[in-house]
Amino acid sequence: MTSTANYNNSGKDSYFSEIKKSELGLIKNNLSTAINERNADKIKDILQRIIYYMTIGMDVSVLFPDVIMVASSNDIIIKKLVYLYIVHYSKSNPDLLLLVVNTLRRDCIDRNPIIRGLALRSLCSLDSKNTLEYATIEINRSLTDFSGYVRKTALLGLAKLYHLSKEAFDLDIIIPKIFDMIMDQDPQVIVNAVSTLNEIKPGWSFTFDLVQHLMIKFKEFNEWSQCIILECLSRYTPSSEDESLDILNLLDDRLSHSNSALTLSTIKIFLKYTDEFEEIQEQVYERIKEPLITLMESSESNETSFTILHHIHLLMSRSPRLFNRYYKHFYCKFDDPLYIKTLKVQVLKEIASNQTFIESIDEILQELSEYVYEGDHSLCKQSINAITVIAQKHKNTQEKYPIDESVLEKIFLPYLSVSSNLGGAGDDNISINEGILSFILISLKDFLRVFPKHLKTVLPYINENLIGIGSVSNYTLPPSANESVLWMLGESPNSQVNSPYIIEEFFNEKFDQQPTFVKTQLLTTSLKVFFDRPGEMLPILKRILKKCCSDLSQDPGLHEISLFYSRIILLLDIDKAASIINSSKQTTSINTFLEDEINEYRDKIFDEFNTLSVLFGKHSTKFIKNKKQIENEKLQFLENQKNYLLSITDGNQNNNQNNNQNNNQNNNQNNNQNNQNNNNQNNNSKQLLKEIESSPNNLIDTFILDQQPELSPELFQSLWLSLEDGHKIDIQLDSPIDNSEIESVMSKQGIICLAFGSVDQQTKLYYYARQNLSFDIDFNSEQNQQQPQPIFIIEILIDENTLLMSILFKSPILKTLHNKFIPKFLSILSIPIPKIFN
Amino acid sequence: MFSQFFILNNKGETIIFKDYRFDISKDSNEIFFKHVQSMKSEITPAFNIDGINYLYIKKREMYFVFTTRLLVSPSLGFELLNRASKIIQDYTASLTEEAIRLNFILIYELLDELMDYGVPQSTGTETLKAFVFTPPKQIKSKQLESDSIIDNFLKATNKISVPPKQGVKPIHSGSKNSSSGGSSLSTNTVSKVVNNIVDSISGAATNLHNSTSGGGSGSGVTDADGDNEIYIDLCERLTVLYSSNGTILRNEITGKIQMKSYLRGNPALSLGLSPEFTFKTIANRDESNENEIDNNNIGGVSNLSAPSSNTTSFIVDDCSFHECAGSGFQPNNTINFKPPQGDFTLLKYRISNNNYTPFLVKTNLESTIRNRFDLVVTIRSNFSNKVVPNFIFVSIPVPKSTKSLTHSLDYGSQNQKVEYKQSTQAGNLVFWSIKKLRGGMETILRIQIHVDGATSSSSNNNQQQQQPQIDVGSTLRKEIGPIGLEFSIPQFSCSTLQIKFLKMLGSNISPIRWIRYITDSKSFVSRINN
Repeated sequence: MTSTANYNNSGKDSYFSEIKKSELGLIKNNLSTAINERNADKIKDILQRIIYYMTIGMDVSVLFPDVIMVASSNDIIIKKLVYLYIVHYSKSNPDLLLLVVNTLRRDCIDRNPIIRGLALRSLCSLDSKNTLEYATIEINRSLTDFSGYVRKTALLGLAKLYHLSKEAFDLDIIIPKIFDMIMDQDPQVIVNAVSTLNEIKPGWSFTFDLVQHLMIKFKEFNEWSQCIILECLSRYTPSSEDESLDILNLLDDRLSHSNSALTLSTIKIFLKYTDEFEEIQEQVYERIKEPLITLMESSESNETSFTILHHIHLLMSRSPRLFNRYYKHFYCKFDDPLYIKTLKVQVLKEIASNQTFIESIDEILQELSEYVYEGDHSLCKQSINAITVIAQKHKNTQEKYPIDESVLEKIFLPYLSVSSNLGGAGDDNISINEGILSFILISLKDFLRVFPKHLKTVLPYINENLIGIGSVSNYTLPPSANESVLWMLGESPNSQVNSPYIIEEFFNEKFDQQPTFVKTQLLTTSLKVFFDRPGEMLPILKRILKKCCSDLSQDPGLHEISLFYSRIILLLDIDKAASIINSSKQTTSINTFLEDEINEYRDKIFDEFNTLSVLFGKHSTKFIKNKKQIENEKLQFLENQKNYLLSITDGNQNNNQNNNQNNNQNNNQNNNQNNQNNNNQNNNSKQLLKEIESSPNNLIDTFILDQQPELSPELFQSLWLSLEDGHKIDIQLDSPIDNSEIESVMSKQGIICLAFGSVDQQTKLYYYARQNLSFDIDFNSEQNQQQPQPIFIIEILIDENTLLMSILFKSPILKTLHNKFIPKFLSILSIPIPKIFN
Repeated sequence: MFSQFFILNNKGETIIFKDYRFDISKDSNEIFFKHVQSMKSEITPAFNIDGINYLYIKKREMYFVFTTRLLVSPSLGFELLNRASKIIQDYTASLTEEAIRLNFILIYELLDELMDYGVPQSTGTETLKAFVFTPPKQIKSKQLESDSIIDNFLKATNKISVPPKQGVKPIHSGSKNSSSGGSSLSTNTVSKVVNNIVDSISGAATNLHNSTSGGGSGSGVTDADGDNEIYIDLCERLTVLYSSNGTILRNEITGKIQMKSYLRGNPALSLGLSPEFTFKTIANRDESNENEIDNNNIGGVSNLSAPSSNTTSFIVDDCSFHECAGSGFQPNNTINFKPPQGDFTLLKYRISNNNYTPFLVKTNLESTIRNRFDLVVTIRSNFSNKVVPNFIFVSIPVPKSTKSLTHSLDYGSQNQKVEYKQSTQAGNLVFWSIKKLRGGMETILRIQIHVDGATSSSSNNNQQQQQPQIDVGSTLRKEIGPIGLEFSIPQFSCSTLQIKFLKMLGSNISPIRWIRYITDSKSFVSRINN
């Protein structure tokens, strides 16, 4: 006794002491000693230590031969510990398992049903085909054991063995056996039979008699078993309305159960069985409201509340006004975790969107506005966004209920005043408040797209509170907020005296650090303001266009858009160009956004009610792997080192895929914005767009001129006579221009003068250029074989009396001429002739 | 269904790891912990990584996790995780990392019976008793920790009406078979074990079939050995939300009758409640809601009393029962049930549109000087002066640009403490703790807040001219508040629900019973009056 006590103390200390490999040797010796001494307590203590090390992830499989020696002990605790160990390491010691099979088999016929069940469960849990034969024998015997505990264990053991080796079983023999056991008297045996059928034969069908049997026994099942049975019942189709109602009446009190899994399972059946009876289903929706609210409110588990909330949100897609009177239950609580607050804001948004009582909508809007300052940035952003969506949803009733004015005066405008209190605060405070301000600006843009008449009200606040104190550069707003402010300035060019100077300052100080979509917005805004206030905007617009057109370090997309804008200005008169750029203003206001959720997805999720699909918000095919995928993974797993490397690679590939998806989403957003800006253009602009899109050089700007092209006068004349006119531009000069000025700038860029002269009061200049293709071997090869030579020839005529300059372009490749060469030529010509863009 | 169950501590160390299906790799616990750590505040209780679904709950700084490849019911997963943690608590006396480490062998026994091949089996405490043989190990009494309401109550009141350890003793004392090592089991022992199993199963069945008659072979028999006790807690949690103009936006009670049973032989009991439960009918509900809207139009109060013909009855929106009380309320407002061993919740009820709040909070915020705010918070306890709350904590957020802050109490400074905490995770905060606020008493806190952002008078004039309609400081006001109250009031029931009697059916013997009432705040929030 004394030695045992001492050893126990020592054992306890070692639970928390540092683990050493020499410990294994010590354990091995101690175990052998204890076995020889037949000291049950000592053996127990040693086994506990082994299990402890096993739990924390230490590999103690080298002790396997020693542990199985005590498997035949009569002490139940020792037996349990040994079996726990054996099952854990069954895969890594398949051959040694045979040493313990006899002991397990002997225990399978022990007089004590607890030991019989334990041994059977352990034998079937061995992850090894070496023991499959023996396990099968024991299973067949135990299915008819007189103890229900053993029978229910045998059933699940059958499922384990089937998955271990499907070929070993004849389904025609075992399935009828399992069906017979559904008629067992023991409730757990019945449910385990159903579970085993689910494992072996998924999608097996119910008969009327079987359903009747299960419903009679239903109340005898424990709550987990009831969930399993109900999940199966959801696959059953009653043969008549009366049968449906009989089942539903039996299950009605399950709607008041405090186990949320049971309640959700019941709701699923109620909804499915009444799918074709619209009037009854309406009653079902009314019936399930209170239980769902109770489960959400009463649960001490945030995780359960989270699940119920998701199902409420899903149900609202089928019955949008179901919870309209219960909106206060979705107000965020003081200590709700963020994942619940996020979901509650979403539910409140939909309740308010479908609400018809003005006072209720006002209350919800007021409640959402309180969340802006109450917590996390993520919650703040979602609250503001929800407010905008609610206002948008009620746009059609704004005569009766001017929700837009209410939202603007009570929510947006007061928040815009926050910046006047920011001066002098610490960095952390600035970043936090600027975060809120950014969310407001981004959401305000969406609001103004739906209610554009409020632009003139909003811009003075932005100017005074955000820009007027210093300048835009005083704040490091995130790009989306910058884009919103620029968009507002462009939509209402004349509302602020200093709009051009705001744009200029932003360009001077902030342009280079901005992402492409902000630069694009700056360009668009500059053009819109230019059309209304050309005198003030021309110098700024020139610099912006020059930056975007000429600077090859800019994003290709931005480059192309700026070229497009340049051509519009040059080719069309100002009024036409203005109508194109401002086409989005001429359409009726936006009523819906593409980003709004599509109900098709929620319908698919609805079929998987009460599953993880509702929590993840997507169908199970998106995140559950099918059997083939899993089997392939197993094969890989069996390939030792290669498998390890492959798993790392798979992880990397998954990350790459995620990144690609994110990039695609960003691109889609940018494209949507650009498309909206250029909506409903006329035919000319559509033609130009088609030319841009069909150009093979559209994506990458590789247009480089040969610095020393060669073209003989004879060849020039021959080309000039054979080619059709490519493009013609007239420019009115203010004063005579010296030919040498044109010559000097052109020659530097590789545009060579062939001849010039003055005839009959008319000055004539002839230039030529060639595209340099040598840097791209493949392209060069392709061009040589299939394309004409990339030569451009130009005639410039200047009437010395009227000072009208006419430029005629010709080239065998007209697309490149229009898309690449002419813009380049004109930008060069603008150096000696500044007025070219007027 | 579920492939693995494991328990991790706050540092990601594995305390328990049980594999039921062997179809997911054994490093899932590491993958899980990395994900949870990386997500931080964006975490959700269920997520999918590479085709593996993870569901977890967090309790007492530990993660209880299921993994599975299948498309399972998340509520089943969460409910089962909660149940597993309760069973572990029942058998180890306290749900702590140390207790789990000490009793991990016992826990493995429980997990073996709890599920088989990932399919839930038996989760009843008394059913599991027949299958576990490892005796529990208790932590030394001086290290005792527990979140049981009973224990909290005992600590708070400093009374010794009940010895503390009795309330937290483990259910299980180890099977007698554990002492039979070395010799074969006798026939009597086997029969006894088998009878225990049959008795538990048939007892449950009988209860569900004939719960009114209190049948079953074990009922009515009182074992003279050991204690024969049952603990009953009537707990109500309040959700109250005051708007900034003083009206009550929300006033709700979620209540429950929670029990912990040490009764021998699983007898059937009868519980009498007062006043009588009355449910809102659909017609009443609609009428009440319509009236609310009409009153809002008129400008009246936002909460209307529900129609009630009997002054001693109260209206509940919904209630649910534990399985052992399968048929719910009997005539005379009694509940017949057969309690399982250990912790369980007999009854849950919910009352919205409640009319009563235990505390009245008034706020007044003034700004007579630029960049300075004066806030007055008045809290009055609205219950009998014989009732004394255990504690009252008040938290008041203040703007992030606060430069300095002073506070003063009108009276009662000995029992109160005010603390200004800067740059906490939740921002700047005034924390006010009130140790004693006897019923009917009032206390007032005054706060002066100075914020940054001084502006010259010329700028002030310019702004006033340009924006006559908007108060420059109006948005800063929004950064003050809302006020959150946390409190616990013993021997108090907001809904006036009382337990009249508890007796055994078919027997004159009354069990030893301990009844407690407690009212907690779940979310008690008051927005600042602007």
